[in-house]
Amino acid sequence: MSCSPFDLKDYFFEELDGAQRKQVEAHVTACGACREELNRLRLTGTTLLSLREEEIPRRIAFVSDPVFEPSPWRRWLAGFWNTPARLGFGSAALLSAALVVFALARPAAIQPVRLVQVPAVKTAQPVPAISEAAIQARIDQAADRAVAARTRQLDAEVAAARQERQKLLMVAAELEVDSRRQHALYMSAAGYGPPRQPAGEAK
Amino acid sequence: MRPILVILLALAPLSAQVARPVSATLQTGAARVSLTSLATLARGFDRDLRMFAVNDPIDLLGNTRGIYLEGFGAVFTTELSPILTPNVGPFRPNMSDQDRAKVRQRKLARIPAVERLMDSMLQSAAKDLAIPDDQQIVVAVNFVYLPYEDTTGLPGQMVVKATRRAILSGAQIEATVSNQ
Repeated sequence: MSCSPFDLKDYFFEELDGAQRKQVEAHVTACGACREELNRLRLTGTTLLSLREEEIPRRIAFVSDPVFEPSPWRRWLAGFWNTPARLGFGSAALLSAALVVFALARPAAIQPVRLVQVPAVKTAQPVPAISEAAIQARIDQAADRAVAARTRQLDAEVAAARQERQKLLMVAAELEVDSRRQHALYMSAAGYGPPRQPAGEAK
Repeated sequence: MRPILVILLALAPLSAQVARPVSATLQTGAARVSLTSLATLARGFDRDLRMFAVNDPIDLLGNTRGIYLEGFGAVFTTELSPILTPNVGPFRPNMSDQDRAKVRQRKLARIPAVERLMDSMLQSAAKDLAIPDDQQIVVAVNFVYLPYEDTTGLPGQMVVKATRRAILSGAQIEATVSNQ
């Protein structure tokens, strides 16, 4: 509580006239508390004047203002995502993506089968009647041809077998001769001695 | 009586001795023909046949075998082909008629040489074997052919035979030929 005859704030903001200012100055000189109060006001004023001058924001918002509230879509999405339905939604989204991919990359459409109208086959001419004797004669001829072909085939096989047999006999004879030759060589080597003077042709 | 019994007992082991083989040494009068002398002659004949011609040899297909027949003489037998007969094989599966004829001609050309060799063998046997002069010395050669060969005119067997006396006297010896 100030004991000054006028308010010190008015003095500080220079809202007093000259006479009132002189009275306040005289009191401040005599009163320590008022003098200290005036010094604090002056310090505050000096501090305020040292701050950078900034423009006052046009609008001051508070967290509680509706401006900071999420949109209804966000609120719905947040509410939805925090529910167990998100798994089902994910599956449905994946399925939808698969359907879209399949629809874009599906194979070419199968050409429908064209049915071709086949002309009706003409029925064969009626077979003329054949007598039993003619049928038997044809059967005999076919049998004779088959027997003759089989006979020729068998003859060829027999001839081939005989030829192979001759070859085998020849090979067997040659093997026999080779065996005898080797045996003779072995026996000669076993009893080899100084050569004799042959009495035949030139050596 | 007792000394006689002792002597008989002492002589008893003599009956257990192994008898000398009859074929090892043959006693024919004054002649003794051993298997060793026969085998030596046979090996010499084999060498003569085998070394007759190095570039175109005689194909010896059996070793010469010698045997002494008491009262008859010595017999030598062997088997051969006058030349090395070409065989059929992968590179010549068949023999053409021309090849057959060529083989036949070569063998026919070689037969006289074989005959001379046989005569030489006869001379050697007559000189080396101590047999009586009236006994025979026989050399028989059997010719072996392959099935494909044309053996027309080729011998199946040739035999030269003479007494030792005739051989040593240098008489002409004829060969007996039996056809194939």
